[in-house]
Amino acid sequence: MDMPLKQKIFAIVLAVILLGIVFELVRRRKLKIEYSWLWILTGLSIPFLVWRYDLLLFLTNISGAVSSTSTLFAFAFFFIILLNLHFSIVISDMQNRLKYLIQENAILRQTIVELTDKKTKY
Amino acid sequence: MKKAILIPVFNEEVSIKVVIDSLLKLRDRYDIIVVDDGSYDKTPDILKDYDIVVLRHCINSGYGAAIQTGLRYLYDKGYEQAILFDGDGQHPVESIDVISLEQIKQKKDIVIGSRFLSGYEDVGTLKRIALKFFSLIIYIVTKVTIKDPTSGFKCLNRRAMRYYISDVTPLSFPDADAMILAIKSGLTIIEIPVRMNKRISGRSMHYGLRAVMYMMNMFFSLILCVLKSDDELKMEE
Repeated sequence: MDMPLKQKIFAIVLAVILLGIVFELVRRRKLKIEYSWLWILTGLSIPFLVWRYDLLLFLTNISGAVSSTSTLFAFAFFFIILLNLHFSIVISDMQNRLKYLIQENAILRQTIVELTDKKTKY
Repeated sequence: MKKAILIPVFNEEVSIKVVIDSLLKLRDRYDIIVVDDGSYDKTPDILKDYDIVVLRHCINSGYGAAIQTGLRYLYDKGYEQAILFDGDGQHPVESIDVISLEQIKQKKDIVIGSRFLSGYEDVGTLKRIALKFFSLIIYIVTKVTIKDPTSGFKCLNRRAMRYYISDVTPLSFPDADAMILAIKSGLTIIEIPVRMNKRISGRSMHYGLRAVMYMMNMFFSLILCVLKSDDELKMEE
């Protein structure tokens, strides 16, 4: 059983748009390379599944899904969860870095005050 | 001996003046260091009137981060003792010398001012249950009894300061979890009885839904602390 041509074209167009947007965002430095991999993986998995439609059918069969569309949705949902988890990790890391910067800033400001006071006294 | 009173504050415009004024008489023995955790009320203006060290967070970062900033400063400046003191007026000024001397006399790393050793327990039922639960967990894991693990009134020596500024310390909620890790890291802790005052203004940082979130987060943090291996925690002498 093969994927209908219209579905193939639609899926590939979607993948190309997604990959194009990701590439452009990286090129314009709006998205860092290290954060773009999950998106690229998502974009590449679409044409891969179009090419290996039998794999999608196999996955549908072993997962007990009713149709290949349900499997695709399930995978899309899983990818979104992965992406959210990835964002949570990035946010946590950023929060730690921000905390360190805030602390360093507070201590440096006090050091400046102390140095200025010393200078004034001399 | 270089000693300091460390006061983390966030929007304490009503109480901070009273608290600082009451501490000024101790200036011959203790330096006063305030960490303003990004207050947006009149607290920064009030603090400007005093000749004390004010470390100001440009963005509110939480109680744990404020304490850590202050301790980093004190540790770098070579202070040998830090007394953590709340800016809401709950902690008794007259107990500062007691907690400081007790730390030196008993040679412990952390001395906690406990509400529950003085027979004065003006806390709600839910909070009391939560505290007993945290105490029980600490006892089960470490075999050390700490009756008031959430008390913010503490005296730390340099070893304890170093623990608090390390990456090991759980900073979001440095209460029962921090106590467990401190003991597992080899720090010694005792409690002394302290009679707390009524808060001058404001409310606890744990109220309403925040209290529920605090309990859940603390419970999760406790599990992580229990699972931490001793090798991860060993502090160099």
